[in-house]
Amino acid sequence: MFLIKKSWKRWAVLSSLAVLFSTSPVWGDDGGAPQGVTEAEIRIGHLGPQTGPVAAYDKIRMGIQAYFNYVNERGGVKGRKLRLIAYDDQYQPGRTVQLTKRLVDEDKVYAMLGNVCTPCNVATRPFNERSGIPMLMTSSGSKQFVEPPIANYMGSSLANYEFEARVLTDYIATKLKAKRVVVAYQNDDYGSPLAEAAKDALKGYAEVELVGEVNFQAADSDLSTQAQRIRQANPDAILAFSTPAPAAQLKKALYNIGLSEPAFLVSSVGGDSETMFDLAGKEVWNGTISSAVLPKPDQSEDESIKQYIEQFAKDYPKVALADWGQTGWAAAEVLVEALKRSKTLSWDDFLSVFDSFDNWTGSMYAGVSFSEENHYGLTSMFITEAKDGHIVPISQPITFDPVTGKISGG
Amino acid sequence: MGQIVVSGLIFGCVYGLAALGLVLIFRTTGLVNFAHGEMAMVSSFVAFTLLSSSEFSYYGAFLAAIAFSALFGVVVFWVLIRHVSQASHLNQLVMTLGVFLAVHGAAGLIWGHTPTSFPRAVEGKPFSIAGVFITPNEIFVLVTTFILSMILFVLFRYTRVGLAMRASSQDLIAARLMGINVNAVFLVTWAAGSVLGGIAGLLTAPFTFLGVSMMFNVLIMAFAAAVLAGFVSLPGAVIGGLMIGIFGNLVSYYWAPEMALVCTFALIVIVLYIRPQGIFGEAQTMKKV
Amino acid sequence: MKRIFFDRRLYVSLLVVLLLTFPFLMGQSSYFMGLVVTMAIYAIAAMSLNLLTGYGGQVSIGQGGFLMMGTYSTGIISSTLGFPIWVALPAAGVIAALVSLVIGLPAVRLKGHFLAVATLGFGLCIPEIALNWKSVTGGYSGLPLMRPEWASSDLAFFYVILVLTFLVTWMLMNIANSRLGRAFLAIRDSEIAAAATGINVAGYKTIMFMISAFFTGLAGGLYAYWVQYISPNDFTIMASFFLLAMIVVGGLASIWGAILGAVLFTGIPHFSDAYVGVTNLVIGVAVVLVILFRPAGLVSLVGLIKPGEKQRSRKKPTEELPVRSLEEADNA
Repeated sequence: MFLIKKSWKRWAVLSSLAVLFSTSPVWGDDGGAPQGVTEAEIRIGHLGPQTGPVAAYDKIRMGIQAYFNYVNERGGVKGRKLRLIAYDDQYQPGRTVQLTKRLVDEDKVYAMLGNVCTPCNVATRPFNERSGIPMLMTSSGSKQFVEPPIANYMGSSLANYEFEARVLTDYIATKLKAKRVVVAYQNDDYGSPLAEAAKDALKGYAEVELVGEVNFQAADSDLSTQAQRIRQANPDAILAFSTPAPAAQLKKALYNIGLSEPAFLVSSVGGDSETMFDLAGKEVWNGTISSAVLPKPDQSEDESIKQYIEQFAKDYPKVALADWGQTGWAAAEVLVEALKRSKTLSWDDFLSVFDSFDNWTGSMYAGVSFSEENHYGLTSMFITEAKDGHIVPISQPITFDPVTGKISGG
Repeated sequence: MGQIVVSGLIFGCVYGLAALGLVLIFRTTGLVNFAHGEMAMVSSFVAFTLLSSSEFSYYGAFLAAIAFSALFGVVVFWVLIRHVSQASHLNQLVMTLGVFLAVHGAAGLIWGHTPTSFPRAVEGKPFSIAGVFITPNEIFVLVTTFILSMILFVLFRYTRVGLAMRASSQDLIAARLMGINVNAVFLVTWAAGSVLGGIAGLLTAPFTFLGVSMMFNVLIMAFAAAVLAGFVSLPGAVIGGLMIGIFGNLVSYYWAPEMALVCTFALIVIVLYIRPQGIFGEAQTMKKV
Repeated sequence: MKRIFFDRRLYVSLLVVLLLTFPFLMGQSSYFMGLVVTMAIYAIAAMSLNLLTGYGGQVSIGQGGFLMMGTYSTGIISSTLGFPIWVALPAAGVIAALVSLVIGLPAVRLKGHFLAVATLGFGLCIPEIALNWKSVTGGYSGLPLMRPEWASSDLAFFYVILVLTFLVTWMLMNIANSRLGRAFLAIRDSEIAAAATGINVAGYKTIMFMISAFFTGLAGGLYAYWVQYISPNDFTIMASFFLLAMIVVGGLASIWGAILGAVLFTGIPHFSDAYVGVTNLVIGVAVVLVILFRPAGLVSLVGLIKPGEKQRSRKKPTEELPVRSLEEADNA
């Protein structure tokens, strides 16, 4: 008797455990409709760090959510509301793999939008290629997701790293006519590939010499030794590939040891935001040259920028407008446009409508193009300069042709 | 070389101040506080919130944040730590880990994850002394650290509160018998330790930018400094902090920045291998069999 | 005694049956299998740490480092050097065990918080080394890893991990209840007394570290095969923190405690992930509450369900540093 009495308690524990697990959201497909599309809604997935040292990227999610809210308030897409399901992968590929399975198999999302973190995307790629889920505007500039084209990977929300590195080195060599260049990079999946691409590109200019190389970590707060090394190298241009905080640290450290002479160039991720003036100090950041893919909130007459400012400020009043929020918003604009263009919303049809994007200007981006050979989506950027608290464009759009590899404009 | 050492000193001061708080709390209450850095981070955010409300001057906000630190320390001790003071050290340590996670998580929800700038105590352009550039704010950091450690030293050595602290840290039973209110001593210790952490946070924020993860590295280095100090020596904590700041910078400059952390801990393991009680610690006799 | 024994066996077999049928209960969901796999891997790591900390009294805040060692060793041996899985997995454990000597040797001399900080340093340095030793680890781009043909499906590999987890659990239980385990307990309670009874304290401490590192490395290897991708971002210092919290929250010096802790910590994110940014807060609050109200860990709840059975607890680890119990002070 005792045995029975006691064991039912075990049963109770175990079965309640089983119930707990099985109560997680699992939706069935309603007959024939593609995964994640119901009468009422279209579910979209997003993975990125929401906590931890690089949680600043979470603004991409906010940007997407803000645009979804904007669209939903105006009736949604094809009579359906957009629903974003986002999880925190903490920038850890192991978690991303697990959460990708959750989004695709359990939450049954229709597509994934703007997933952050290069290694996380590398880790999930085999799974995603097998499942065929549309992977849109991946938030990585790494070439491997767009070149050679993968059937279900469409576009990246950041400028392609090699393209960006070439644009910046070309600016150094031809516009600034610098002779001695130092490359400073964040030693991770963002900064390192850019630095490698830039070093490659510099070899193409006989008169420009790479005189030094320094690296730092995303979480480093003291870059004084790096600044000191740069001073030893005596460059006339410093090319930094970094996220915002270390970029500001580096510029400040250079300023503090009296090194404000050399031109300072930063990749778009770390330089293309007005918050940089706040981080580094107005006087310190002045004169910094950067590449950019999106116009600044305060200087554009662009319709979608105005919508963005209004909606984002309403949804996330405490979060600064600049940078990642815009990235998320712009990526979501591309998604919604493709949803509108697709007739049946089947994955095949949805992925095929991307080919009809030919320099589409309806979004915040200068132009979005896709074709069978071109899955980059984002192929133009421009150069900006930091002037008196504003980031001002100083070039025309520079365009990259993925098919020929040529860069034009500027 | 001079420049490398000086900038190492500045960060060393911050590590030292944070380590001072850790050591103070450890010495008196026997607990290693993992939440030390996160509590300091919250104090910095409090200062920032006061500053942005623009009714506070920098120093007003600074003092208010320090008062908040003290209060925060007292609350954490009274509400949580007091109840585990009889538990094993491991339980206490994991308790502070829990506080670390909870405070970190809550701060992320409240203040978000985008780093923002934090004003310096003293504004002013960098100037050069004998070829070494230094900013007025950096001098402020050096001076503050020096004064604070002196004050603490004097308090610990020559006042009744300090005497009570030392007594409690040496022998709780005897301290009780001598009429010392041990809980009150612990309370004061936690307040003082948190204030030291809070000041370290306020001094760190202009360098690292204000963000919820800003104190993590400082905490790690403060642990390293505390270990060099044998977890008991107050002057040792500051000197340990300075040593670690300078050592890390030298490695970073002469070898590679990515090796700084690895070498710092390798140094600690070597030091501990030679002197298991730390450079400044006294050899401990085992009291209990 | 017999009744309790029966009881425990019933309990264990139910759990085993539930786990074995789990993929089919969940419709072969890869995600839910992954959840159980993560729990199993953390359970192995937590049990190993419990052997070291709960039984042996040696606090380590760097076990995440051994997990990462395990992932990279497996990746390099299997992917780069082309050895099969049955070589790679044990080798991952052996490499972790050998590396643990680096920590274990000074640890023989270190006590309490000094050891904690030294191991903390280890946990911090391994990801740093993995990131920068590019020629071997692939740096930031990580290492891809393929499962062997026969275990290429998630379902098949789920069972591989499950069976290995059972095996490791059984082995660790036996170690804990063997001469070795009793020696660890003796060292934890008093090194001097242990030495006096003829226990080679330094030797046993080293063995403790090596056993713990071996199984943790093995767990890391399993994880690498499950995810099929190795990066320096997995198993950061937070993993080490969580492992330590797992064994304290679950119950020190208890194999079941470690498992409970691992299930709790990997289970919480499943429910909290739907809310942005609350996971750390929830876990932190859970840790604080458990320590406040169940200082002997969740495993002590079993004692509540079964009032007849006294918890087989082996009293709390004694502190390395002079005891300053308020209770003692009051009684004095």
